Amino acid sequence: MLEHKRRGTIIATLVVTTLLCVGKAFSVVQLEKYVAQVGMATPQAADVSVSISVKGRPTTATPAPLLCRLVRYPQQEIHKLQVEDSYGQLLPITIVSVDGSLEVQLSEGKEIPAQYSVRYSVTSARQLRRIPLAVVDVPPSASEGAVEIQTTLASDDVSVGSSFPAMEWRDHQHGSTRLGSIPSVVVLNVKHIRDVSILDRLFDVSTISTFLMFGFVLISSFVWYLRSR
Amino acid sequence: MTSLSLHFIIVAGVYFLVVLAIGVVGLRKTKTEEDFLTAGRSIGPWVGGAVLAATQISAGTLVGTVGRHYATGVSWVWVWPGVWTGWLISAVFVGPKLREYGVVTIPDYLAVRFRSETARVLSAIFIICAYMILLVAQYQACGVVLESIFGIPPLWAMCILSASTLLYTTLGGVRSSSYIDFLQIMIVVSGLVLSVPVLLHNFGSLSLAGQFLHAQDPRLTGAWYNGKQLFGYSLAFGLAIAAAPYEMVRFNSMRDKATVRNAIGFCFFLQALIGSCVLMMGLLTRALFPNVSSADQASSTMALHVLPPLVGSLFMVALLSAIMSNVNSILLVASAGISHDLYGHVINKQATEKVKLLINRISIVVLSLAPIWFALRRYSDVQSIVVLQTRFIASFFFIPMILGLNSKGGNSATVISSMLGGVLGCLAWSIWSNTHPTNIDAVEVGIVSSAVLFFVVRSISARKIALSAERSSSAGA
Repeated sequence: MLEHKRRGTIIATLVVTTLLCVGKAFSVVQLEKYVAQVGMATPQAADVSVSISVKGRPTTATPAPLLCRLVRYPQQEIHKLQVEDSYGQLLPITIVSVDGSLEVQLSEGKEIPAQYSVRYSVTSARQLRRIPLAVVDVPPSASEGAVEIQTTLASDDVSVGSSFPAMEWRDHQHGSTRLGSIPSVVVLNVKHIRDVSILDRLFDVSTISTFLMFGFVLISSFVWYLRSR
Repeated sequence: MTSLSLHFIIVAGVYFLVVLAIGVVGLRKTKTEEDFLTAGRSIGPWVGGAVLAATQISAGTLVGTVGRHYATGVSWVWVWPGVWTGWLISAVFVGPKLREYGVVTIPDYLAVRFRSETARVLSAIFIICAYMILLVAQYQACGVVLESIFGIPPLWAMCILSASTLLYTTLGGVRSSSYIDFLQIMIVVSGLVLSVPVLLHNFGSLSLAGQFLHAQDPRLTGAWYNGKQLFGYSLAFGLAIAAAPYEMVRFNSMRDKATVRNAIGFCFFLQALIGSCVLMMGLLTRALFPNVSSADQASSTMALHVLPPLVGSLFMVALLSAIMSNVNSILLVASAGISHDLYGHVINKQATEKVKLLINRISIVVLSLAPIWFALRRYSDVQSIVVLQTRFIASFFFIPMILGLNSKGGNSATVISSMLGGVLGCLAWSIWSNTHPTNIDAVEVGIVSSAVLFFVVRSISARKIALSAERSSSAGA
């Protein structure tokens, strides 16, 4: 009888644990799709449009729920920031500026929609290299490539050196990439086609770091070989 | 399959060809069981130091600690002083003295020091169990990494890890793995050191990264853990390092006491460098990718999307190599527990060298497959599994090793009660504190109970011996 009771307890525990796990999985909010379009009209300005789809139970939290967060670089200005729902209706938002970050909050009592878009412009007095992306506080779903970033340059411009994230360039103007999670910034080094030189390709971060790493490994292997003889 | 995949395949192919070549050379030079387990005691200080660092730096550091810094920020860095204290204790109180005993395994040492074959059996069984837990962490990390690169199911990744580690572990034992560890640590160090400026270049500024992290969660740049919690974690790591069988067995392959001390010094320097880089990697990856789906993916996300393709590939190869190195060390120690201690000293004392070597290699195969089942279930994140294992190792081994090497007296009852009392105290407190959270870490309870039992049983035993000596002398008189 004791054996039956023990078995019963174990089975009950397993069932309850399974139900809790399944229940928890269904209640978790996840990022389903994130598509960011970054258009660099000039080397000092970019327009960004981000479409966000979220699945799971939406939150209505107090204080006001956070829609997204952007990195605030000191020499940049973020203008014309607005958020729309899937019907094109503007959502009531509050923009809070803190050190290093710009937080976009939905007005209190409002529900974060399952799909919405964030649009803004970024300008800089000097060349714009780092374009902040709207980061949402929602983990991505397990599907690979939930995040897509598309970049468009001006017709006479080209990206030199290594970009972040690494882009696949369809032509000199249009690039795209797919990732599993949202980067907080897109890094592009844009130049006029006529101004590109061989030095731009030789002295970029990717080339330098690759040479340094392999050089170090080869030298240390050679030293080890000499000492072990 | 990602764009990194082709680069990774080429880099990994070259690397594993080198590993295979070293394994074959090791096989030719390995004739006896002692050769297999101690490399003929020929390893010098530079390779020795790199080996010690490579043995410790594994998935727990490159996946687990990076992920922990990613998830909790700066405060986890305070665990490193505990690790370094563990190395210092090892350098002064453990390593050189253990080397003098000239034993092959840690259960060997306990059997000799405390004149107890029961202690040998118990410690061998415990090593096998505890290191199976550590293997689960390594396999789980490997599953996460290869799934990120190739999109392959974790089961395949774990089978690949098992097969490739088996190859050079069974071929050459400690001799070949020592030289592979040196190569691997050089790749890890260069990858880590280079990743920091690349991460910084992409984000733009360290101070801005700090502000952005603070905006996400103030605890990331402040105190995620309280002092008591950090002390508990630090203690677990430090004491486990000081008495870690899979580290101590590496001392046996070094030339002499002085070599052990110098090797630990070099290892110390490497760890300081690695610890700093891992901290920066975790924090800057969080700044660049604030929402990865799990903290364990932080390092593979960084390698895939931040580092240049060849550098990222080499880093991932080094990461997998670190996992393999750790798995290799663990398998060597655990299999030696079976072949040398349980089989050679208990089951069949007349076993020949050839038979013991064969048993060793069969054990390695079996032990490498067992953790796969647990790893597929992902009970917890990598760092939490490693912390669990360090608590048990510290509670079981630290007091008997430290006091055994640095004090006199004690017998079979002393060491057995100390080992069992330590691990049972740790286990009981871990279970109890799940429902009754306290500020006392399970490892503190384990160490205290181990120490108390050691001293109490030792003094009782000493008294009994003194009494029986008195009776004998008065009977003789």
